[in-house]
Amino acid sequence: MAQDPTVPKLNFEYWLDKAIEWGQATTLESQKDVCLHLSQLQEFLHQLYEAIKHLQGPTVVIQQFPLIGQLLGRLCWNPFVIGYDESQKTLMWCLCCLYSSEPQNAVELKANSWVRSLLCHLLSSSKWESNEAETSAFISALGYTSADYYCHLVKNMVVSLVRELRENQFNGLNIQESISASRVNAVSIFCVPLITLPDLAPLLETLLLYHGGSSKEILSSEFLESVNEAFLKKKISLPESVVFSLWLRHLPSLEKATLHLLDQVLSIQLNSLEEVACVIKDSLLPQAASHPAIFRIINEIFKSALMETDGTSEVLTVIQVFTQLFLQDHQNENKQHKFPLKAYFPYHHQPLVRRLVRRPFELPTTYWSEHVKHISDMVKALVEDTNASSLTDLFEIWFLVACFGEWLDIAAEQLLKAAVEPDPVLWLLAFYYCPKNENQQRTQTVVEAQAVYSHLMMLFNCADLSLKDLEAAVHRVMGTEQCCNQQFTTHLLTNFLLFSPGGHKIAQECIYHITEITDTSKEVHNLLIRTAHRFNHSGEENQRTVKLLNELLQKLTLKV
Amino acid sequence: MDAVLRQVEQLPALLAVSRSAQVRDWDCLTLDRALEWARYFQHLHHRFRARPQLREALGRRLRRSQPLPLLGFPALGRCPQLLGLALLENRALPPAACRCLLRGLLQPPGEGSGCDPRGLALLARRKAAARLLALVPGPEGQLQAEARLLPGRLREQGQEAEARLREQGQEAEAQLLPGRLREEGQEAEARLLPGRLREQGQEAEARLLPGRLREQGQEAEARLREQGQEAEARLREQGQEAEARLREQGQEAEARLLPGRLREQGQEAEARLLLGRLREEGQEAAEAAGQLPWLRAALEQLPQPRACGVVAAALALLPQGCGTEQAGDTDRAAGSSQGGYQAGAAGDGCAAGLLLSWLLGDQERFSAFCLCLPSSQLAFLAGHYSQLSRSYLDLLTSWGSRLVYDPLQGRWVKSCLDKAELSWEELRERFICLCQGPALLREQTQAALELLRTRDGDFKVRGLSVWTDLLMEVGY
Repeated sequence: MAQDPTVPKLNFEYWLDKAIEWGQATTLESQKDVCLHLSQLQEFLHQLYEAIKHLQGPTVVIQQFPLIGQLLGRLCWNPFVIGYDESQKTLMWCLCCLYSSEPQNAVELKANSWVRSLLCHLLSSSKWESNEAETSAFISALGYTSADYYCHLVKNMVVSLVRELRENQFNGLNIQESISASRVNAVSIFCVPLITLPDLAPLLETLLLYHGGSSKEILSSEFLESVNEAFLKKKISLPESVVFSLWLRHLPSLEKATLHLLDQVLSIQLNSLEEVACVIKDSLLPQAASHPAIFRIINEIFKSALMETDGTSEVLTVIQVFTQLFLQDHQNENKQHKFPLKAYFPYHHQPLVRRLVRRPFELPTTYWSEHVKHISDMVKALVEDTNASSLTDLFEIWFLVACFGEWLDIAAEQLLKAAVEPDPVLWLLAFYYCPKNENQQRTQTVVEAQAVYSHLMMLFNCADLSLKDLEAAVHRVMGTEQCCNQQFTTHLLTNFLLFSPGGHKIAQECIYHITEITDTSKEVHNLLIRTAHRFNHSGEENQRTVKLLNELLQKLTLKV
Repeated sequence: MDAVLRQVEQLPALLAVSRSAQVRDWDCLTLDRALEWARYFQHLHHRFRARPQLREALGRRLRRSQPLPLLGFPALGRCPQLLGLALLENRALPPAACRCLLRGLLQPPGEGSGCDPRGLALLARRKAAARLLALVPGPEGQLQAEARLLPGRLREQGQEAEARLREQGQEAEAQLLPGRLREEGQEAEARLLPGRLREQGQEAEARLLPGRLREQGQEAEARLREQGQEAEARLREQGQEAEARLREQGQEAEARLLPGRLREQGQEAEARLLLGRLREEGQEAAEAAGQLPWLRAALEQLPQPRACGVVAAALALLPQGCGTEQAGDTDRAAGSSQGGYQAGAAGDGCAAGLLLSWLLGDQERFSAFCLCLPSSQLAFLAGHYSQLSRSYLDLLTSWGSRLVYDPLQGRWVKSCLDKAELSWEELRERFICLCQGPALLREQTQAALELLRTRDGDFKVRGLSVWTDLLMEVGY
């Protein structure tokens, strides 16, 4: 038979084989297999509906898809399929396509009666199922429908399972009464298709908080993965404690949640750090990170994300905001069981950790430059001490500093705003932008930065600046092959434009010039966003700077 | 308002028609109109549910317009589903109208928005959920309880038949007297009705005619022995077959009776609906004082043990305050529960009264109720309803007084084997459960037993009065 070219090829044989296999086997293995295929099957049913909805009558449908009756009929009897997400809806639509308002032949007559039987099977506590005949008579004698009945029935079943699990959790010692692990495992498998059904919420929560006697995971991994996915897609909402329990017991879920967050932040256009903070907070990851194990795993995932993206500034922004939010939570926590900082940073130099976790607003502004100097000295001592040791150690130190990027931004700002001893600050920034010192890269960076800095400082109080005056610095940005130096110089230059009295006039022009020729618009944009965020929090007295910053951001946002 | 009241009066007729063969003449237009009416009634429900006076007026008019007041005000809110599902199940509906119905109910994407877009999909999902959760294997204890509760009677019958057969076989073997064998054959035949067995019995009978046997002397006796053994073997075979068949039937019945959890939960769901209905009727019922005819009619839809289970579940839910919960889909009914809360406690008392009067109004029914429910559940109910505890104790008394002491076995036995009564062990368990209940119930039970013991002569020795022995068992 010639296939209509517009009809997509639907793999009927595959799904029919599956349906037959599922119908015969009642083992846990086959039930797991159903769970694994549910979303694919839903997609198939959707394609099927799209393919048949415009066909003229059941006869044509059956000619095109001779196996359709067998397949749909079997699926209607599979509670996993019917219970899953929106499959039952699509299935019923498909059935409607097989119903004719004016049956023309025996096949159509038969199809009509078959469709009605199946719909009754799906929807009523019907007379066609012997075990429910009495229920049907009773509830209709009360003036109710099967909708009322099943609503209560499911709730009752959920309540009873929840009660059983909770009692068992509390009487864990009573071996005779304890529910066997295989039973709890079975419950979790039967819940997979039903995760987004609101009635199930109490059962999901109880299961996720339930730990059996043994240290082995008793919930099925299909269940844990499905719950996590539904949560990440916002198809269900769960109390925080339940989400934390899920991530603690199932690391793949935590990993997915972290990667999901990165994807989310990278896919939207960021207009402010507040927005990033909102997205991150919404993910519940900073809150979950109050468990040291979760915190450390999230950081490991961040590290590999940094490696894979070659240190993209957006990823760094996510890490920095995440760390800020985590600290905020950690400091607000008044719990007795608050973990010490060492639990979160066990392998790091503790005095350095203690310095870095201080939040800028906790210290008087006048003390900032000294604080930065201390940090720089410590990092320098560590780096030079570990010179002999591995790159991994170096990376760990760098990552720690990078997490607390706010201090680096303050350091760069202090260079222009306060009377500071520039060398330690420049060294710290050079370390951040160019951590490796093979072939004296970093040393070279420091030297170049010193030159740019002293050049900028000479121009600092110059009231009437032109782009030409900055040519030397701009040239360094554009001329260098090394991207780390480029970013470092851009950072210094941007700050100069923001904070020097003469820089304002040429700021737009200069930044346009730089971002036009080099590929740094994202970095500049990120830097400006971070600066704006700090201004919002600690206040910037110079209104001209604030105004300029906003204008620059608007221009760049359009461009990015 | 008068017009609205008159419209509402039409609802019972509309639903009745939707269940009747009259829909044979419906076309698409009729069907759409009916669905529109249903949506309109639902709209009325939303509009008036927060206004008690109008609500009541509508409810009163609804009740007055039907022989059995099945539908109250809340039925208006459920109208599209009541109508839609009734029509879906009604095979008289012609295809054209049915196609319109399906489109109206299921609303494929892009065909406008109807009353309750996710209603039916949610229903199908919930039904599947109930089936899935029922697949959860029960713990050991539950399996046992299930086995006890399930096709109990069938299994018992099977075991009885088996035991009787074995006895008969042994007897036949020992005596080999054709007459006896025939008698036994007849008895077995009578008990084990299957047709083939009867045939076999007749055959055996024909072969083992007593006259011929006597004539044939010793030789014949030997042959007879052979034949007897053969017949016996056949009988045993038949018996085993019958037994297997019974077991099969039992398993089938078991399968038909749903797994324990689902059945139990189903009963509770039914109980919640029943309570919802009673609460809806609450006001009027209080005035009518006495049984509601529809309550009896509804409960008669269920087989007696199930009806007992549902009523027990409903009575057990009431003290937990579950009666105040709105029946039906709570998503939809959320708004109406506020007004109903105050009336809740009074309504619950009223509901309990109605259920108890159904239960206690018929001695046979109550006795069946007490036979089929587990002791712990009965004790729980007796602890909450003094009316019930009195009748329950009376019933236990009458059962107890029919036990007789068998001095050879040294225990209390039933005086009449077949009668649906309790054995000593069962009676003992019920009294123990009662004495584990609240203090008041314990005192009441103890006092009743002591009074009975006094009446029997106040002996303190075992084996003389069943009440003395029971008091000793419960620890007094």
